[in-house]
Amino acid sequence: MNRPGQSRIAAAVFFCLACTASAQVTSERLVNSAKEPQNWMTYSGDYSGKRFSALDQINTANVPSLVAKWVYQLGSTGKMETSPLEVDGVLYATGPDDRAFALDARTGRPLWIYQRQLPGDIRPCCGRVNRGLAILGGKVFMGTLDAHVVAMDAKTGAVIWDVAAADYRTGNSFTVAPLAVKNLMIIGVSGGEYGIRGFIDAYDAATGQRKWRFYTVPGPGEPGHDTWQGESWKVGGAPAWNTGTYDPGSNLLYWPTGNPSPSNRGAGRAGDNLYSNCLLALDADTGKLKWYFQFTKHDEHDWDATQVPVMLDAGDKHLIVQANRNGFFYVLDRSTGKLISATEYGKQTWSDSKDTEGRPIAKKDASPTLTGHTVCPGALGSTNFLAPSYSPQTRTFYLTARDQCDIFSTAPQPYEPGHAFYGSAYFPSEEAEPYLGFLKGIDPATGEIKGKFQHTSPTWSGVLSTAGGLVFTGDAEGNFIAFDASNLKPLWHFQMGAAVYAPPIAFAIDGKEFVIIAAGSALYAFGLP
Amino acid sequence: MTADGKQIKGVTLNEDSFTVQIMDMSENLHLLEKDKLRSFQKTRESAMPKYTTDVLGDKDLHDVVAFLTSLEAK
Repeated sequence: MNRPGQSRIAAAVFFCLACTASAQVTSERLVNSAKEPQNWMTYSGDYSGKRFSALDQINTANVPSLVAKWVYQLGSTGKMETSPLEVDGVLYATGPDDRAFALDARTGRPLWIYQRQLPGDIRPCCGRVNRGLAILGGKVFMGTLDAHVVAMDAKTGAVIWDVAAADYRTGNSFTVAPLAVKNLMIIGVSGGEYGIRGFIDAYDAATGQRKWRFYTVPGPGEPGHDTWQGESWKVGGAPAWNTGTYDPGSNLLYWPTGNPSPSNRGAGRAGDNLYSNCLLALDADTGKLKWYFQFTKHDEHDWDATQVPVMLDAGDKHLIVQANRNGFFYVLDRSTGKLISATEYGKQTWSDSKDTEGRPIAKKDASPTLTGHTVCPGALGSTNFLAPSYSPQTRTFYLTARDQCDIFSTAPQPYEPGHAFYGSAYFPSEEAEPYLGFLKGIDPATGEIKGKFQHTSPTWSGVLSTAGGLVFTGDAEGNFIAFDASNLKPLWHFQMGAAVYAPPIAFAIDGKEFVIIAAGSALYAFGLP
Repeated sequence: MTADGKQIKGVTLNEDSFTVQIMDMSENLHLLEKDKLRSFQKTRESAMPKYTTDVLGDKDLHDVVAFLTSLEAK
């Protein structure tokens, strides 16, 4: 840890008594986050996963005049997938290689930096990335690429506790932004490409003591164990690498899980492979499973279901929706997990029928073959970890979508601890060239695509909607773009010079609204002149 | 096609949702904003002239191949 400009910061205290920052975030503040739209205190902005800001100072009328207010350069390489937090004037975010930092959110000036010293033999599957922090009390929390959970003093970045959750040498890692619930820090593991046995953990935020663990691959004697062939459960994958949501009313956590291992070979793991590619409803206090819904049974295409589940209420219906990587938009009853609808939102060829519950089921010829077989969507999915947004104002679910097909092949692969475990290879399919990328708006009531904007190429940016009638997202060419939420027409853009892999957030300080997004190895802040 | 009806054909050097940078067949650069164009079309067809035996006969083709294979890496 170091403290840039420490002496200047100390001196400034005497001149800045009016701008004291309080980092005491209670669980009550998190539950009632709607009462303080000026702050962004969890990964998705609130527990429901909507990534919607109630701020409307920046709106459809004035957004063309939006300007860059500051840029913070990390001075590092690698992708930034971070969704920052902002609390009472301080912004907390992460960068590649497990760097965490705090900034003066008005100016972008750093307050502290934590840089983890990672072992040389870590095994992150998909980049040395981190998607953000959680905050509770006076601490911020980060999962690390060497599979530790770390609590830091929110004012200084000093490490308060550091707990090893799993062995990184066998492919376990953390890339997810944890979720603070009551006095617990909830986190899910990455490593579905390494034959890990997935889990979701809860740690006491005060001490770092693990309070519960839910294995996403059931062991012998546990319900669901019989969905795995032989010993395949031991290397069954089902990671939990994206942040879930939480319903304080029912005290249920809704956490999505990823692909079974090996990701593209079903031979040897016959069965549904629970709880891979599921949405899990877990008691937040105990980790006990209340219900599950499996989106893709016995997945052979790497279609993790780790997309953020979003809670919606329609009259007396309490719903949870997910735009799944397999190309379908699912609406579930969040009390029971019962499927209400599943509607195609992107190009898909793997399913042409549904089971009696209405769940899309795979065609027999959708499986990978030795010589290769084209299936849509490709392994990257119709969407991915890219955070979606729901606007209560337009009653529209916005997401980043991709049309791409891949040729999936498969061959036997013995498991070796700590080595990639795909059981296959997949290749881009020229049949589907060029690959297309979209911002889409879906009506959750009908599954209908209400509007779309086609990007020049597929993007990895998440989406934010605001009460100003706007939708913000980034693109692969480096643009940060504001759209009219009613029709997805672009109203403003700014070229940031690097591709976007992160979602935007919004907050306000002293009555002035900011919108923030990461691009390249920098954070950009925008506001009105 | 620009707003004033001028047609520009060339190779796309770069492009995003709002701009395109083109080098035309005379190696002139054109830095354009898409919303100010009348139309914009892309083709996957190569701008290279098509090869036919009228352009290059068998002997000439062999000479070209012989020359290229005689080159050494520098």
